[in-house]
Amino acid sequence: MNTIHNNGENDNALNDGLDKVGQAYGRLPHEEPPELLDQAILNSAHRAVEKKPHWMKFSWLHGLTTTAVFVLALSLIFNQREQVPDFDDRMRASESVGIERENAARKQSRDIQGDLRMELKEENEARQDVLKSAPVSAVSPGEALEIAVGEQAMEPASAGQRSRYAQDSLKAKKDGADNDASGHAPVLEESVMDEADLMADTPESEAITGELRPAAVAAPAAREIDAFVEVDSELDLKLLVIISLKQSGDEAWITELEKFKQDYPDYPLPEALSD
Amino acid sequence: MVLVTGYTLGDLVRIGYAALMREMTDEKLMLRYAKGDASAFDLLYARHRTPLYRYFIRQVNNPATANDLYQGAWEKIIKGREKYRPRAPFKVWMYRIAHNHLVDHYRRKRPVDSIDPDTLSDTRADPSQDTIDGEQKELLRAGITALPAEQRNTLLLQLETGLKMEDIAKVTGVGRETVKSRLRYAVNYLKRSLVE
Repeated sequence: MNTIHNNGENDNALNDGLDKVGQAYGRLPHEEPPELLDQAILNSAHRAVEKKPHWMKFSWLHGLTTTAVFVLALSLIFNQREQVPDFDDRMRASESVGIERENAARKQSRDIQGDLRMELKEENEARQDVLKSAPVSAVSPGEALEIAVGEQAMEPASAGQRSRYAQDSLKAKKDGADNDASGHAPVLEESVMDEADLMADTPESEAITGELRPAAVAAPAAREIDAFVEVDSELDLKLLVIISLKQSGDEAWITELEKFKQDYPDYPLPEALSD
Repeated sequence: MVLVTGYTLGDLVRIGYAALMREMTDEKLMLRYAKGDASAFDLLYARHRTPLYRYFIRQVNNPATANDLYQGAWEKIIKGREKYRPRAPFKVWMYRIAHNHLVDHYRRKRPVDSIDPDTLSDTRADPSQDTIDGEQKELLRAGITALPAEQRNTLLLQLETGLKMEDIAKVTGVGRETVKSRLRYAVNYLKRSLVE
């Protein structure tokens, strides 16, 4: 076993020597590894070739995925929980804002109505002054009705603009009464003025209805509440015309009032017409 | 299913498989183990456990160190199973791993268990005696331990594994003539130690 196959004298001598040493070496005690060491090595060898399930090879990835899904789910839940009260708060806030807006609109409507009544009162006074100063009636009942109808046919405008328009009409009639006894032309021209012209005519109208400007300035905001204001102002204008007819002593106011009562039976009449 | 002889079919399959495995060469067993057959390693381990252990314990002359080296060498064999290619005999591959492991050990720690060869002359047994008694065994053991590391390593590879000079040269990473020279020096030294 320990013979080296080679030629030459040196190799033979080496082979002889190896045989002798080998025989002596074979008689040495045969040390063996401890059994525990054997078992440890065999276990290690078996573990090394154990077939693991495919997913176990990527166990770190499995853990990472599980953790990521868990974290995402938790964050989603917390996010939802935070959003729900927020949504409720927003709803409540929007409701309260809506209520406030509605209240403001109502209040503004009331203010505008008050302004209108004040305006009507002032117009009445101005008309009475005109009537007193002019011995002949400047505005015939038909003309007054034409003014009212012309205003109704116009595009819906804000309350301030309408009141200003009425003031302008009256002013024109007054001027007409001063300059011309018949006084027909200015009234008709004014009645067909469009809204744009009225808006462009702001400084002059301010001079006349300066105290009504707050209502006119608030017109953009009041547009949202046209439904409240529009009907009232138109009817008030009709009533104004009827009152003016009555004050001028024209009997036509009775027929106009009857007609008004038929058209708007539930509309409250002012004290001047309620008798 | 139990057969007439008392063995189950599974037992017979296992016996036949074990017989087949015993006929297999080291190279085939190692390839089977690399493919996941743990029983192939069991057989391989049974074949080489004693020579490898003795290779280590004769080198370091210390059982604890030998155990560590032995286990470490087998761990390297297990880890390197997929790199094994049967271009050379399995024994050459295995002892090359063991040799490198030993060299690493020597590099980490200088050997302190070497014996001065001059001290051996004082403990020599009676040279006229033809048979090697217990005292001569100790002399041989001491003589092997006293050899220079390269000569001892080459001699132990020759005595324990029976590898040819060419294979020993592959294991130790030196030329064939270097192996022969080392063997000659080692044998002459031991012969003089034992016979004279």
